[in-house]
Formats: sequence, C-alpha cells, structure tokens
Amino acid sequence: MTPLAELLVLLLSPAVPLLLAVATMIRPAASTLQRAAPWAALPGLATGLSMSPGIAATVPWVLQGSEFGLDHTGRTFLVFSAAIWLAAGMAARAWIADRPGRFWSYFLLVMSGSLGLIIARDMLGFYLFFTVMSFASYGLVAHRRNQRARHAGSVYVTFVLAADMMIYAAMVLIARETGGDLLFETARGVLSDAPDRDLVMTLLVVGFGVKVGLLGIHVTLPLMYGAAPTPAGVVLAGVLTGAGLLGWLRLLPLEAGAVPEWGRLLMAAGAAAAFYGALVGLTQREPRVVLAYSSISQMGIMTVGVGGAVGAPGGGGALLSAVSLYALHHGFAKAALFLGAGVAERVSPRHRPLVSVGLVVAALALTGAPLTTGMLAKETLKEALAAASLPWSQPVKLALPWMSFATTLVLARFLWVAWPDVARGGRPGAGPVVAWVGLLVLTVSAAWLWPMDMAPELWRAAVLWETSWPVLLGASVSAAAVLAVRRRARPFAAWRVVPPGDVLVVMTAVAAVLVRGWLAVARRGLPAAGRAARNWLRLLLRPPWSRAAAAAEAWLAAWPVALTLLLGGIVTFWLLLLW
Amino acid sequence: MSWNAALPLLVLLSSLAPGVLIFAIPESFRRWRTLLNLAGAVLKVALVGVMALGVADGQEFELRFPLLPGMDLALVADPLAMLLVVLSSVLWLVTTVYAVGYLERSPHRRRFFGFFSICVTATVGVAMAGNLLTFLLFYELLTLSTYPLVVHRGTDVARRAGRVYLIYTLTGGTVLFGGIVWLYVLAGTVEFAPRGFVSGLPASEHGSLALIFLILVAGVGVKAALVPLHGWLPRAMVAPAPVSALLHAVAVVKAGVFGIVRIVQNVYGVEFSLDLGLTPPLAVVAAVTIVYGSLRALHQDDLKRRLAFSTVSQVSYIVLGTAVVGPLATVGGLVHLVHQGLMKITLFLCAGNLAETLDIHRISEMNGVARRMPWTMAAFSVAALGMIGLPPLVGFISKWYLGLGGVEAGESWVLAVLVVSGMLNGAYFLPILYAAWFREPPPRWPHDQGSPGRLETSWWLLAPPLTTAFLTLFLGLLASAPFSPLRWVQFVGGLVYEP
Repeated sequence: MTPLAELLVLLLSPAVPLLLAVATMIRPAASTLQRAAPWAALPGLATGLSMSPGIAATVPWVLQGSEFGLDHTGRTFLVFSAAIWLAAGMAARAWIADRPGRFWSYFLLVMSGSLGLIIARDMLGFYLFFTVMSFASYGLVAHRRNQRARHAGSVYVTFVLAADMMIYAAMVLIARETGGDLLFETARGVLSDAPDRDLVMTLLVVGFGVKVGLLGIHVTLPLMYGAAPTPAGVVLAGVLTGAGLLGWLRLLPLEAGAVPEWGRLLMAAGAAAAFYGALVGLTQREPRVVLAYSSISQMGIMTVGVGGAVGAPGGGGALLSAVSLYALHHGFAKAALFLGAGVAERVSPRHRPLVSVGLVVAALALTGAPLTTGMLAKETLKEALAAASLPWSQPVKLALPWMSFATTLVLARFLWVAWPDVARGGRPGAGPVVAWVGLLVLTVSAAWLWPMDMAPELWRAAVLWETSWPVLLGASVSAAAVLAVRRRARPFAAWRVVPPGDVLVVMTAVAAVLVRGWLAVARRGLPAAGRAARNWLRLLLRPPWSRAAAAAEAWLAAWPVALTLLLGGIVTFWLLLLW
Repeated sequence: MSWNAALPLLVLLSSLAPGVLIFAIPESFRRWRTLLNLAGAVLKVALVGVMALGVADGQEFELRFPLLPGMDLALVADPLAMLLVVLSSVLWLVTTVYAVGYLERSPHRRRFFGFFSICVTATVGVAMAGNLLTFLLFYELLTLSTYPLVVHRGTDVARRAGRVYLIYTLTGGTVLFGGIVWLYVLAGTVEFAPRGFVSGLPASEHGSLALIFLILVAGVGVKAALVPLHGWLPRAMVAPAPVSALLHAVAVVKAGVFGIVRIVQNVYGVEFSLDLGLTPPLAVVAAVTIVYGSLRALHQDDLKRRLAFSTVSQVSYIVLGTAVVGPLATVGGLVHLVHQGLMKITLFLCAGNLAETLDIHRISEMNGVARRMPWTMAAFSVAALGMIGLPPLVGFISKWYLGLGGVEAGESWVLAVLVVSGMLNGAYFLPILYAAWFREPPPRWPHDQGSPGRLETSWWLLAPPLTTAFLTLFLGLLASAPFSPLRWVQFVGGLVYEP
C-alpha cells in the first residue's frame, strides 16, 4: 500500500465510529444507524490484526501537524480495545432500551476517541482523541439519569476537567523543551533531563492517573462502574483504564536516562493500590463496584511495571511489552467479568451452571492461576522486572504472589455477589451471550497467541507452585468466609460497606466546605470571609467527621479489614525495605 | 486615486453607504432594507477578501488625507489590520443575517440597521487606522454609534445601561485623547510603525513615556473591559442579541483590545515596552481580569450576564498574549482576537435564539432545552467547549500558543493562570450544557414562539450560529492549514520582533 492509503486505512479506525456518532446525533431514532453502530469497531480490529507495525504518516493541516502510525504497543492496544468495543456494542444493541439513540451517539464518540488515541504518534493528536473520549464518557456514565448517575457524572467530569488541564500543562512544558517537536519519541527523550521534570512528571502521572485509577485519585472508577449501564461499563473497565495507561507509556521516560526516584514512587503507589483496591473491594456488595476495585488493584500491578520501566537504568523496553501484554490480558478478562455480571443477572435457571463456569474461568484468568493468561502476563512482568536490574526489585518480587492472593480474594467476593442464584427475570439475548463467549475465548487464549519477543519459562515446578499457592490460599480463605456467613457467624454481622469511592467522601466534604466559603465571599463580599472561616472550622469539627470516626471503629471489627490490615502490614514492611 | 488607495475607502463605504441609505428610506420598506444590508455585507466581505489576498501578496493599501498640518487621516491595511477587518466583515455578514431574523417583528428597525452599519464602519476604521489620531476618530464614532443600539429597546434598564456605557466609554475616550496629545507633543508624530516609534526618544523622557502608556492603556482598557474598568459590559447585556454579539465579539470590546495591541506593538514596540518595564504590570492586570471575570461568571443565573463576564475574562487572553513578550505569546494573543470572536458570537446568537424562540433568559430555565432546540444547543456546546479550551476547537489553539509563549518568556505563571481559567470556564459552562442536554424538559414550553414547521426556529436565526460554530471547529482542527487565522497571525507576529 502507498503511505497515503495506509494513512487513510489507519484513520478509518476512529473515523468510522466518529461519522456514525455524528449521524446518530442528527438522527437518533434511525434504526439503520442503530443496527450499524455495534460494528463500528470492526475497521479498528481489522487494522490492528492485519497491519504491520511501523507505518507512520503525517497530516500536516491538523492542529500543529499531527502524525499517525502503528507500533507494536499501539497494535496491542488497538486489538484488545477494538475487540472489547465490538463485544460491548453487541451487548448494548440488546440491553439498551432507554433512549438508545442518545446512548449510541456517546458510545460511538467515546469509541472514536479511544481508538484514535492509540494510532496518534504526537502529543496533540493523542490529546485530541483523549479529550473526546474523556468528555464523551460523561454521557455513558450519566445515561441512566437517576440520582446515582448524576452524582457519578459530576464527580467524573470534575476529575476529567482537572486531569485534562494537567495534561495540557504538561504538554506545553514538554513542547518548550523539545522546541515545538510534538512526537512522542522526542518528548520522552527530553523529559528525564528537563528542568521542571518533577512538575511535568507529576502532571502526567496524575493527569492520566485519573483514568488509570491511581491510588488517591481512583475514586471515579467505583462510581462510574456502578452508575453506567452494563455495556458502557464493559468499555469503561476494559478500554478506558487502558487509555490512561497508554498515556503513561507514550509520555513517561521509559527508554533511557532512568529516573529512579519516580520509578520507585510509581512502584510503591502501584503496590499500595494493588492491595488497597482489593481491601476496599472486599467490603463492596455490588458486583460492578467490586470489579471497579479489582481494576484499581490490577492497574496497581501495571503501575508497578510502569514504575519499573521509568526507574530501570537500562531503559524499560521489555517492561513496556510486558505491561502492554498485561493490559491486553486484563482488558479481556475484566470485560468478560463485567459482561458476565450482566449475563448472570438475566440468565434462566437452566443455564446458570454454564454462566457460573464462565465467570469462574474469567476470574481464574485474572488471578494468574496456572495455565491461564494471567499466569503468562504476571510471569512476563516478573521476568521483565527482574531483567530491568532495579536495585529494589527483591521486595517487589516477594510482593507479587501476595498481590495474586489479594486478587483472588476480591474476585471471590465478586463471584459471591454476582453468582447467578437469584431469579431476576429477563433473558440475556443472543448478541450479548455471543459477545461474552467471544470475550471468554479471548480471555483464555489471546495473550498466549500474542506475538512477544520474550517468553518466560513457565513450565517449571517452582513457577507452578508460585502461581498456585496464592490462588489456593485465597480460594480457601474465601470459601471459609462464605461458609461462615452462611452459618451467620457473629463477626460477619458487623460487615459494613465502605461507600463506593471511599476517600471521595472526604474529598467531597473538603470541596463542599471550600465552595460554601467561596459562595459566602462572592455573595456577601470579603467581610464574610471571616465568618466563613469560622464556619469551616465548625464544619470540620462537626459530623460527618465524628460519625465517620464511629463508623470507622465499627468497620475495623469486620474480618476483611483485619485480614487486609495484616496484608497492609506486610506491604508496609516491604515498602520500608524499598526506601 | 489608484486602486490600492481606493480599496480601503471602498471597504469603509461598503458599510457606510448602506447605513446612510437605510436612514433615508422609510421604516416600512422592509425588503429594500434587508437587500441593502445583505448587499453591503456581502460586498464588504468580497472587497476585504480581495484586499486580504493583496496584503498576503505583499501589496500595500494606503489612503491619506491631510487633516491637520503634519497629521493625516490615514487608512493603512497592514497585516495586523487585516486580522480585525476580516473578522469584523465576516461576522458582520453573519450578524446581519441574524439581526434581520431577530428583529422581524420589532419597531425602529431603520434606526437599528442604520447605526448597525455605521458601527461596523467604525470598527473597520479602527482596524485600518494608520495613526493614533485616526484610531481615536473611529474609536469615538464607534462609541456614539453603539449607544443607540444598546438602548434600542427603550426600557428603563436599557436606558440606564446606555448611560453607564456612555459614561465609561466617553471618559475612556477623553483619557485616550489626552494621552495622544501628550505623546504627540513629546514624539512629534503618532504614526504607527511596525516596531513602534518612541524607542528613539532620549532616556530622560522614559518616565513620561511610561505615564503616557498608562494613560493610553487606561483609555482603551475601558472598552477592552480590563478589571476594574469592566463595569459597563455586564450591564450592556440588556441590548438585543445581535448587538450583544457585536459588542462582545466584533466591535466594541475588540476595538479596545485592538487598541492595546496597537499601543504595545506599533506605538511602543514590544521589546521597548518590556525594556521600560511596562508589559509585566499589564500582564498581571490581564491575569487578574481573566480569573476575576471567570469567578464572577460562576454566580450569574442570567445567561447573557454569565456570557458577559465570560467575555471580560476571555478578552484578556488577548491582552495577556500581547503583554507577555515573545513570538509565541504574541501569536496566541492575536489569534485569540479571531477565535474569541467566533466562539463568543456563537454563544450570544444561541442565547438570542433561546430568548427569541422560547423566552428563556436564565440558566435555571434551560433544563432540557436541547430537546426542543438541538441545533442551537449543539452550536452553543461547541462554542462553550471551545471556551474551556478543549481540542480541536479554536480555543485550544489560542490556549496552546499562550501557554507556550508564557513558558518561552520564562513566565510560567501564565500557564497556571490558563489552567485555572480553563477549570473555571468548565465550572460555569459545563453546568449549562448539563442542564440543557441531561435534565428533563418541562412538559411544555410556556412561551414557545416557534413555528410548527420542522425547524426549531427560523433559518435566519439558526444559520448564523451554526456557521460560526462550524468555523470554531473547522479552524481549530485545521489550525495549520494555509487559510487559517493561525497562519495569518504567525505572519503578523513575525513582523513585530527584530529579525
């Protein structure tokens, strides 16, 4: 193919969903459009599967002259993202009954953004698609129009706006260093020696971290997953977290000129998120919210990999591939679990065993049990971490099996709450079931088939044991807990739910106080500031804090807390070793 | 008179002549008036297009009449002038179409369209002024011709707003006049020069020059709505929608901010202004205006008032770009002159559509309005997202260059101001979009004036904001195309700095 033809084919991946999105906005009720919409990801999937990496072409008139292309990382992300979009589209066709036209226009817009950012090779092109994706996702999160969706939507859009501004500022600062060259390669190259390196790194890590679910700003994930309709949740869980991760992989300095401090920081944050996500996930009662916390935990593991790549003295090329593979594996498995939760809600009693098997298969893959893609992804990551010769890789190596243990616990919790044993009525329909089975097949196979330039040695007794015991231990602990609850053992009566979004409660309280203060000043002028300040203090000392303290005390008595506090202790010990 | 000298005059006459003729024909000649308006506007765009191509080609268009001894009335179509000339001609056409539809049933259309045409003539004059005196003449003409438009409705509120407007702008004009006289006495000339004309004066005069700068900027700062001189602008939003569009996007505010650009670049020279220490305080004033305007906009429930405070904030992006010394910041500031115009005119025209069709004036009445008027709200949304500075809309291009220019000049705080402003823009625009698109509409619209046809409102009202919204998207996405305002501004910006 000529370069122009290649470029046009490449641009079809975002252009087809974009054009369909515009068409659906104009004619929301057109049934032809709604029939076509689920297939909008096909060009992206075909491009990802068939096109050889390495092509690149410039579109000179767009923004500052944008460049598009496909490299190995991009190909990985394009294939799994497009496949998940396809599955989600099939589910949406059957399950979205309320205002489908509106849903599709946002769905397709997000799709266009999420596929377009993968083929971007420069900062502004990436930012363009990233922004489209981020803001259009609001329509998916808020689709249900109930109080919960509204709340999730406003929290989400606040974080998105802040993150967007941060990414903008980071790009401006990088562009200053490169002298206006916006290509990723150049940008990555200058960052490690830039004078405001720490500022830029902070902006990038936090800006994309909102999508990744970085610890501390992970609060949007549980709200979004809980509020969005299931087909939308499938892509939020399977694709959007990956987009944030890709932002990191594109812009953080992974190649040369290691930044050890940042590597260490990211690894610590990732490890902490891996355990924290699992801890809070255990206390949740809704399948989708449990999955959100599992995502926070899994993205934490990937953050460890990214941190390793940033800190690696010899560059993080191997880790880059390993993290991409992990993202592919996690995308499929998480999407399968999410869609599975939707199927389980609708399945008839006769098919329950089959659905249960499917859920267990996907869950096992995510835990990294032997023979699963999770095992491959984790071992690849482990090997790449070892090869990166980081001075502090030992504690991480010790922590990885415990992360699998934590994953097993939280997924057991998911299976527990999502188990198809209550008649909820309805039928899943053929499309979603086909999509789900497809995702399950990809979950168990895709990572094995994906071309990688390294292959960890898996079939040794030590490796098999190391991947088995965390899952077995986690499964046993969970089984014991389920039995205990069935027998109504006393400690479980006190099991409390942490509100989805956990620390968001604190953030909202602080924000409310600030906004109230500003309103007082804005309405009544500066003299009111003194009174407002006094009110702030009073608010700070009043409930909800005291109530929260009481709740926290009761909550501490629950077993997941005790259990994971123990884990937390172990982690802290390791983290101390790190420094 | 050669063609190159006649063309600037023809451009002026293409709106002045229809204006005068409109005063001459009776109120009831509706078709004739519309024809005159549209013919003038189209002719102007065509003439300006010819002139712009010529300027791009390196031709010089200049017309001079001796006015006083040693002082000419000079019309010079330099590249910077063309920026505002093209903007105001194109947007005048758009606004004229809109105004014809908007004032369909209202009285005093003759007065309205007459002054409307003169107002645009004045703006083009301000743009093409070759020296400070010519600038002042057209600047005052603009003040006088917009007053009848602001008070057009004739209500008490409108008259009060008009009085405030006159007090502010005439005072500003007087101050400006004083500054010009002093500068003439000092420098012996007030002719604009590509890199300023005062840098040759002896160092002993630098104190006076700094003071004159303050006076001149204070004079034009009234129209540019710099805090604390912005008080007239939110009040003036009582005017009909096309007038607001004109005030905020095309003429008045733009004339003020264009004056600041002229003073910094063509009177003092960018680098000399920096040497005198004049631009840093100006940048600070601009930054304060940006943040203050946004903060005030947060609390306005009246849609047009919120938009007015947003103008206060956004126009100072241009001042900020001018006051931060560096080629990229200059580009960012100048290009925002065009970009802000496109976005703000869209917003005001959409607000006008809501008012005219559904009698909606407050944001709290806008719940679900996108269900009733999807095209209007789509245009509004594009412009609002552009104001936040999201790609690929034109607002992002401005913000990108302003941010780059800030860090290039070593003034990284500019970037922080832009980030804060973007957040605040989001905080006051996104709730409007949310209400319009995601809230449930009332069971029926109490004052629905719409026609029972397929369109949500008349074509005359719908086409103009859709056009400008399209340009907001198109010129942002294709910012590097040869025809984009960005390219032109990069050409202009190159002239301001020593090679």
